[in-house]
Amino acid sequence: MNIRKILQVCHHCKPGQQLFRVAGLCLLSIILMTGCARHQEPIQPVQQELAGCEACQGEAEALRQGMLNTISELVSADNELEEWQKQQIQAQAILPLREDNTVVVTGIDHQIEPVAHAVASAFEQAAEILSRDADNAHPDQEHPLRFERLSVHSGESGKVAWVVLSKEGVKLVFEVEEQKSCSRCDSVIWNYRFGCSPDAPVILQQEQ
Amino acid sequence: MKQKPDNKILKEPSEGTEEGTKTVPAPSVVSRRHVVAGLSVVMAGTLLTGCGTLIQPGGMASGEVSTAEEAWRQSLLREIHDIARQWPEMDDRTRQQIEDQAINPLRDNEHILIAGLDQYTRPVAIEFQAMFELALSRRLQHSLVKSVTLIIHTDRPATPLCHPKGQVFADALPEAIRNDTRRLMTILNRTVTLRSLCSMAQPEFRCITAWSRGGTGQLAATERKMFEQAIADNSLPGLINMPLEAASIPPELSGATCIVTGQGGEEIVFALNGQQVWNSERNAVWQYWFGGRRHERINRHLSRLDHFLQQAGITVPQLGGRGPAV
Repeated sequence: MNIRKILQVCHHCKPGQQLFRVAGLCLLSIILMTGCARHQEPIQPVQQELAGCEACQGEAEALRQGMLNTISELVSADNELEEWQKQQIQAQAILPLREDNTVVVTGIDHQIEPVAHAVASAFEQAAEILSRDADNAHPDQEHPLRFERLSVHSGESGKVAWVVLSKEGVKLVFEVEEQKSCSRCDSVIWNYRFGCSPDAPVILQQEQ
Repeated sequence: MKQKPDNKILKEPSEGTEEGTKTVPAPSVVSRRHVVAGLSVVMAGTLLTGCGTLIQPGGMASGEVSTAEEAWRQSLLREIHDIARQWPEMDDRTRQQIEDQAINPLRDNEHILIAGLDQYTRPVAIEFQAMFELALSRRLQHSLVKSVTLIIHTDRPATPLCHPKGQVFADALPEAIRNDTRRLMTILNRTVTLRSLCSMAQPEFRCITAWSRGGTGQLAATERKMFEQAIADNSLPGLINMPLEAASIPPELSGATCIVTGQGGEEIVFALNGQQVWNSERNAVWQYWFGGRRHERINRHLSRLDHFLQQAGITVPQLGGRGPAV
């Protein structure tokens, strides 16, 4: 293969220079035609996610708020939790999740871990109740039909996720993820994510 | 490399002359090498800086975050990180906690909660605020920002202004705080950093201390006197006293909000929600918002604060409210 012949350059020209020019011009053309990568990926507002995608038309948000109501009621009625614990569960997870589908809580491990476990436990109970209700419900009633619990552990970090499937095909994912950020000072980050995510079950199963 | 004769001189088509012909003024020699070099510069510039269309504050849709705002945010976090390393009289554990619980999570998130016992979370949340105030003072000194509006919206007047610079009236504080050096230091450090900010003589800086009706009546005599001195102090030209008509501030709005406009027009919001030291409970949840004002969560927080302050008799145009400037 004669590179000079392909690039149509004479013996005075260096094929490397010509290749660089061609590549540079191609890249520039691509940038000018398609815009730069940063322009193509603006950070999307969270509210847009909450509004619901085209598929669910906001049904996921209604289901999400309904589940948060059930979780809140379960926490309030739990006699094993002290009042300050109930307040912390509300302040750290339930109230923020009412407005946004991701919440980042940082703190010292032993101080915020019990809250995260209580939130996870309340969610599982809520999903069980709604699932049980759905089994006995009238076909027209809007309840999730089933839920699935998935756990992913990687090193010191762990993630538990529940996938709730409604009869309308809405897929809600609730994730509780722990990220150990520092072993010296016991700092930890807990991420709560609760939202409509059609692809999440597949992704989670692949992670497992 | 020799140039091909055909490409040596490029003549532009003529225009504007009666004869319809025009001689291209010198220099008229444009080689392929020049074109390639010019394009390479443009391309390198585009790749390094982005295409520039996002850096137009007025042109962005609600919710989008500009590259300039994000760059500003990240650089300020780096600066705070460096300040934390040199912060005086702080144990390594607290220093590490500030990094892991505030600085690093805010690199990836515009909104975080810091939760746990007040004795552990207050030093993290408030020292971080003090570090931000110091970083902002430096940027103002070096004219790196166009304007700054800091609003401290609390039930009582801003705590650091009720104590002398570099000192704390320990007797005026709750016993739990009085016996806790780490929490005492949070007040002491901010008596310095907040005054340093308020001493900025630039007209583009203002610090509004907005407090609930009867807020000064709850202060100890020494604190009240110190606050009145601070308000009357000519060496703090940026400080504005704005008592509110409201009897109290909702707990979720108690804190401070700072709106910074960079030299490129980018608007960054740094906001904190938490309880003042006299109102501290055993368990605390602090909220931090840090990012472009068009970010959904930040915009929502500003709207709520603006609505509350307007109802309480204050209009701060920088929050988005309309009306005469305070």
